[in-house]
Amino acid sequence: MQIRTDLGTRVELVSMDPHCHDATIGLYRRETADGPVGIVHSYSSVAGIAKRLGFLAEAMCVLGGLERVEGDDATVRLPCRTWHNAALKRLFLDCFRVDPSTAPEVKPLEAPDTRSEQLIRVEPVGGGRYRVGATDVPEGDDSRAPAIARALVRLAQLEEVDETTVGFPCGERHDALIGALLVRAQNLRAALREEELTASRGVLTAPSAQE
Amino acid sequence: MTAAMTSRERVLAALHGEPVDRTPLVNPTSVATVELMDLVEAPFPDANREPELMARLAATGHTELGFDSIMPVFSIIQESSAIGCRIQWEQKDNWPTVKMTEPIFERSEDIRIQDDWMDHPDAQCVLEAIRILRREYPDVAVIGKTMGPWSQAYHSFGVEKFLLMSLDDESATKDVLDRLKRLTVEYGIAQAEAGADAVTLPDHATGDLVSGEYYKRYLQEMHAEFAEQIPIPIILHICGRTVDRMGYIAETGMAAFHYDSKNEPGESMEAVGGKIRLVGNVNNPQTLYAKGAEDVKDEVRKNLEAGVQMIGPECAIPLQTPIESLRAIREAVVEFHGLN
Repeated sequence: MQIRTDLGTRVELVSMDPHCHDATIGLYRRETADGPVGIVHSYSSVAGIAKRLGFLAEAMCVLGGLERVEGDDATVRLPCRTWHNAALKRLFLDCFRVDPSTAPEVKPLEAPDTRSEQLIRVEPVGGGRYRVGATDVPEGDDSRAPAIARALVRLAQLEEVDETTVGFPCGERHDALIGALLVRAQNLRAALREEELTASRGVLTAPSAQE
Repeated sequence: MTAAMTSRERVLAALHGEPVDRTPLVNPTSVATVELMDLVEAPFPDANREPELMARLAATGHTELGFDSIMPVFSIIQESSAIGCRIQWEQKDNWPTVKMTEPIFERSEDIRIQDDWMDHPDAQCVLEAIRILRREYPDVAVIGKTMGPWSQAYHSFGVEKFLLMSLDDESATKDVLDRLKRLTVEYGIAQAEAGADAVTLPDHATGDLVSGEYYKRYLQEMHAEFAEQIPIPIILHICGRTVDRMGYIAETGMAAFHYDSKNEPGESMEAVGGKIRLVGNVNNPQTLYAKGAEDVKDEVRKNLEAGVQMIGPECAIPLQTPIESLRAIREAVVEFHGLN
């Protein structure tokens, strides 16, 4: 194999895929005449790597509502033909959590809040916007909806419309993607900590800076 | 400019302060990444311990990234392992490190280096990798690495203990450095004999913890000794802000100083006053790892415009660094010189 110069810009990398012999797998963004596409790629030649790349691309389609690009099992794009970088980075990482022996399943637009008894719902309101609501809020407690909306803005760099409404800049619906993001938005701190840990791993520090 | 040179000629000329046909791309420290490990099937930690894998992974710096040098000593622990330090070898996606919380020496008198310390497999691995690379890449500069005594002291005494010693007891500190320096010299000479064209000599008297005056007091003279005793050009590597000691470093007789992005190229060139060549400075964590190719090119151009003699990353690059960012280093040099 040779270095590919047609991949475009790397968006995210998983250094060691536990489901495929610790292969390193990346998501790359390439510009095309039809808008940006995402390429799931690895330089590894371990057994099963092509199938694994196909599975991850499929998981991105199911979990995030992306579409396959014809003629390539590992190339996907958003139906809006734009690119939501932060959201797709997160989606790509979450695809590695899917058990490869099962088929990926789209996430619903509601989920029980992990930090309260509330049920969080995300409702499309048009123009690529989603309103976050909460039910079963105990009397005297604050709704978790504004916090979840802020987390979605931070996690996926969505536009903040008002306290509980967020929007994709493209103005298009992305129900599957917002459902996938909702799961992670409920524990934003853990998601950000995971990102920090990933970013610091593999950075060589001087002995004087090592713990 | 001289007629077209081989990579090896270009690097050696730059190290000796002689004319070159274009600015060489030199990596005094590692440019290995996890993607390159996959490409050539030479992953960490094995690529730190098996010479064939070490050589194969290191060669990608030249074959895939376009550097004029190949540097196979990815980590800073080979000698420490050979003298008995405990090593955390880690996995493919992280660096092996010395377990400095488990020091092997307490006092300078404890330092006992066996005469056959270089027979240890982790020391031999580097020598054999250099032999392989010398054989397979006769026209590319092969750069080895021999750790300085200050770094070795961190590894074998623990950082905190050694730093406190350097504050409290000058005599004991100098004794430690004196007893450890034979590792540096012997390994440097062995790598020269194995075929290395130059050696990087990391000695982590870093800007954040050690002042310029401490460098002068403890290391300047010793580094000058290394320059006399090791028969190939030495590239000194010290991380951090080091402008305060660059003048001292320039007096050691070493060939080049591998400098950090915390120092501006212009002020650094001024500080060394033409007495030593500079290499490095392209920022790792912010630029190469996290920004795009254009930002990488901007930093390279800044060095070229300041007259820095060799271009490369400031230190061992993060293992997740994108390949497109690394290839941008060469593209920037080629564009600057108006070459294809």
